[in-house]
Amino acid sequence: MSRILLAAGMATVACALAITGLVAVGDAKAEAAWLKTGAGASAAKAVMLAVPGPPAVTAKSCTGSPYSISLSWSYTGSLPPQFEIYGATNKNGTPAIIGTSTATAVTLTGLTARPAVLSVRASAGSWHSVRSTETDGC
Amino acid sequence: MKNPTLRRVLVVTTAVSASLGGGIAVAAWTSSGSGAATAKATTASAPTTGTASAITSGLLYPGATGTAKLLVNNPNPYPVVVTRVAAGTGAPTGSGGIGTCTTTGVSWQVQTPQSAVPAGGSTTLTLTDAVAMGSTVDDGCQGAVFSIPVVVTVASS
Repeated sequence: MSRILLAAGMATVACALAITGLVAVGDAKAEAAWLKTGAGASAAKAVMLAVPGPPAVTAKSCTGSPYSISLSWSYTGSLPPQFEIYGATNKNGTPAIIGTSTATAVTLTGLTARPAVLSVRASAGSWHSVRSTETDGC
Repeated sequence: MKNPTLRRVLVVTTAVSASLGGGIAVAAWTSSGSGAATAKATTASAPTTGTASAITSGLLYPGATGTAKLLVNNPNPYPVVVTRVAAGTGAPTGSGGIGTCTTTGVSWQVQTPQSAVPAGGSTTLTLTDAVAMGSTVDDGCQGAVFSIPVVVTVASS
């Protein structure tokens, strides 16, 4: 009787091994994937800096140093990374940067030089727009 | 059935046959015969690229990274996955800016998007931070659209 069971058991194991082997072969086929490369071109776009509108003074303290002033301006298109605010002590003076902003409005405080004339330009890295039309400040 | 030896042989044969009942298919695969079966694999075609839609965000400027768009065409009759996009041969070019744009400063960063493209179809990939712009760039490149050579790798899916 034991011989009968042994023979039957061996036959079952042999059958199971055969089926397992076939399944493994099937999986290997399914994993095959084709790789293919092709040349082409991608596209990207750069910022184009527009000239900001002339700044409008919304508040100011001009009674003596340090001065402070709040201003806003318009900008067409998507916002550049930064705006630079220029001030000069008189209409014919050389404008110098007195502040920066990432929005179209800013409040500048602690100014030791009187900001008589104000203007704004857009900035992106080493790129700059033309300065806006000047506006009277303090 | 008086012969005990003969009886054992018959019983064992019956038991083995019963246990192989589920293995009929195996027996069929291992049978032999002559003849020829034919099959032909589809030849894989290389992906191509086309003109992507307008780019409105992730714009480049000196010192920044930006977004790139890439329209991938799959000419194959099966879907693929874009596994890699690397820099191709040649320098990026810029056009449509405010002036001369010779020194673009634009470079490509390798991407592994794993994006699907349907059989015989197209997909536009929007790849954030895929391009970088160096600090030395012609001022005339402001507002320019750049064409950046790439090599697209796809895998069958």
